[in-house]
Amino acid sequence: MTRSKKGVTTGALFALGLGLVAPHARAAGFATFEQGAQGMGFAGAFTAQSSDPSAIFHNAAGVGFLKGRQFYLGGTLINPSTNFTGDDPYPGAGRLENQDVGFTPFPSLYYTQALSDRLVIGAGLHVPFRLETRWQNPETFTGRYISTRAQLKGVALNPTIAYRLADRLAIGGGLDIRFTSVELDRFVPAVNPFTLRVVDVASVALRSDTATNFGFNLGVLAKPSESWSVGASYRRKVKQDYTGVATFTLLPTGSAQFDAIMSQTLPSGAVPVTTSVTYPSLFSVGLAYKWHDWTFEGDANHYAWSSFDALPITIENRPELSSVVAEQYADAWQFRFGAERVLNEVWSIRGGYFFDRTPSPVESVSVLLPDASRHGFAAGATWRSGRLHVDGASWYVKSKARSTEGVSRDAFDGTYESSALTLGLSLGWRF
Amino acid sequence: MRRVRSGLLALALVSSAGSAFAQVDLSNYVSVGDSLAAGFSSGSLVETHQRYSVPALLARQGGARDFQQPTVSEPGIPVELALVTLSPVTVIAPKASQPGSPTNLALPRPYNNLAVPGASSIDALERVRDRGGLHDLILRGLGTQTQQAGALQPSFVTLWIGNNDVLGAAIAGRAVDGVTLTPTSVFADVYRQIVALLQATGARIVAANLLDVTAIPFVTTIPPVVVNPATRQPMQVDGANVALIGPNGPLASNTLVTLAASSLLARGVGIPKELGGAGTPLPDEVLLDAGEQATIREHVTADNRAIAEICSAAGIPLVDLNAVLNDLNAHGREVGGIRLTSDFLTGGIFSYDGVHLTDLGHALLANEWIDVINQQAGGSLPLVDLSPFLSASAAAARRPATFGFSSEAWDNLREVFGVR
Repeated sequence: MTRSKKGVTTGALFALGLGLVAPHARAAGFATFEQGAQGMGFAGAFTAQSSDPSAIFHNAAGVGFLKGRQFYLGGTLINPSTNFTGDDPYPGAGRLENQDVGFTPFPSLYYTQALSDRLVIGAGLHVPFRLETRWQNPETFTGRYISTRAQLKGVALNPTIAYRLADRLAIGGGLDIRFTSVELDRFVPAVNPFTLRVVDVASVALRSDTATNFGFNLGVLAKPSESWSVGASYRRKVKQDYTGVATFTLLPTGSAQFDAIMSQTLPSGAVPVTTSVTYPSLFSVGLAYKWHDWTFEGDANHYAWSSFDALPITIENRPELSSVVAEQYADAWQFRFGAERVLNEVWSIRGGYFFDRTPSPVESVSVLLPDASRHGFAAGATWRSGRLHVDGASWYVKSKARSTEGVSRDAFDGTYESSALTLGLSLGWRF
Repeated sequence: MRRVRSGLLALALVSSAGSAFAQVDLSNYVSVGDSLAAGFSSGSLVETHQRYSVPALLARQGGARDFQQPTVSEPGIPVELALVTLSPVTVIAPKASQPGSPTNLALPRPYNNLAVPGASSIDALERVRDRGGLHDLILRGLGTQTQQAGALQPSFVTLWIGNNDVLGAAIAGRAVDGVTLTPTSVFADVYRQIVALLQATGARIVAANLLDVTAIPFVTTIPPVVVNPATRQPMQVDGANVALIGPNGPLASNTLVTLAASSLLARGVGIPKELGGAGTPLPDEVLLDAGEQATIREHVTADNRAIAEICSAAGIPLVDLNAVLNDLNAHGREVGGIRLTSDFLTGGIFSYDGVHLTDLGHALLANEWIDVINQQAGGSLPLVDLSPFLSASAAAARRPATFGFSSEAWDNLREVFGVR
């Protein structure tokens, strides 16, 4: 797959597409795994337990073991930061750029209800994928022709049903309804023929409508003994087709003649845009073991990122401005380990670690997708009182410094270093 | 013990790096070549661009000692071209009436950058003077380029000569072997002699081959059809484009019209009367028909084959700039979200004369040289930082369709390149 390059705004528009992806604070690529504070305390290793309503995300079969009616309401704050140090030939050795998007909140809300001793239904509202990049000082940011700000936001509504086939064996499944949208800001460059130097001739902002599409998820969870449990889950890939507009705002260059030509060249105002993103499937398998007051779990998660091969950006009636961005992601594994110690009837504490391998080839590492393999360290706790339990957890995620090795597709070379602090809080209530 | 081993390993690596760098010692660097190596830009040799010539950038990146060039004050010699206006037609003309003057004539030794605009391979080997031209300005009667290069006892030499053995045909609009084109056998013989003389200095040499001069903006910018200045689109009659008129009638669609035709087109020459033109034909000297293009390309190909064979035999690494230009024409060059192309005025790489490079173009080609120096000559030069040349950079604006490449601009080019 190759990127077609046709005209002045092509770069803008493929960047629009690239804007659909990016953050390094979450799972590699742009997946998120912060789906409930108890699971977060295990560093996301929760497939084999799924012992609270966040099972709707982690493993729908876990819902089959939940009693009565349960609410599990919470959210996560993520504070990612990225530092970029440039290389020659562009943007230049030692050039520093910073990204700081502040704290980004997103919800994880779940409800389950047992209809019988064996049949349980539920629904969840969670965020399986999300990204936000926002580079500081966008007017002078050296990567501003690729992207200054990108956001992919939305939620998944996940009605779920689970059935306990036996006392220690359950299966479950859900409908995965995604509502997502895309935003991207960037600048458009052109050579000023009067100076033969590059100037900013426009800014462009892409805003998509909210797209809706459907997937599904399945799970199985077995507890062969009081101590052991094993689970597996699958969440299907979902392709989202977006429609929206790219709004071009011309910027004066100081040359009225050049400005006049650019006004003829660039679209005026809002131009219809379509694009699509294929969100990868996720397969998880986990094994948990209980020993006295301790619980241990290890999981492996496989994201089939190879479905994210390219990103088409189509401008209505402007084929010269349309493009296809090669991404060529590869499938990638995550490995998660967590442990819990029940201190007493009120308190439990947790900790964990995960390694998240990047799916991004080095050529695709960019200001929009500065992806890298990352290590995550988790800590969490639960406080219980009657029917109420409050779970809190925090992740510190540190990406390995990743150099573009001089082969960036955007010819924007350097080294990205990212880290993130994640805070999760969930309140559980059982009726 | 492990720490000691690490230290020894680091020491070994440092030693290795040092010895690799020693293979390409730019401390006493000399450039032999033509206008492309001289830093000639927008029809002029002028210090504001000379400071970014490919050799000057290589010298800077390689830590050359006291790299001297034959600098000329603004507005350059000849006077540098500038874009006067884009509308209603694009007009490019000299930016002043009086030329600049040399500012480094008193240097008591040969310049490090000996490249002379307009110099052919034979000139590099034999010419010392040219009756007040740029050979006199740069060589100062001290000997030929190759002689002065030897006198400097260089540690490193770049050789980028031969473009004028084919370029004259494109500028003159006539491809005649032995007249506007140097016969390849002669070129090969001369090139071999130049290489031998430079090798005798003991310097490390890196060479570059010739550009396809039928693929530069000077000959690719103006379409062979009538263009409406208002819409900047080809005029159509009965749904078909209208060809410009040449000496033999309507131009074939594969005819190249040089920028030298622009001032004639502005007067209606080459445009049918029915479309408001003068109805008179464009002269052959501003046109390259398919046969002439093929002849020029054959020479470029043959000359580059000769360069490759001679350099290979001599163990000289070769920078394939011909391939670089072809790639630029086909795909452009992406730099940080900016797409640079070989388009005239809007591509960012070629200057106002349509033949020579902008400062950014020089920097891009310098990095091509550095890649070869590092990979094939054991160098470790850092790439040139493109940021200062871009200010960030370029997608193609709509190409202005009508050009006014002034007759003075054309005369300057012809004079520099010795085209009569």
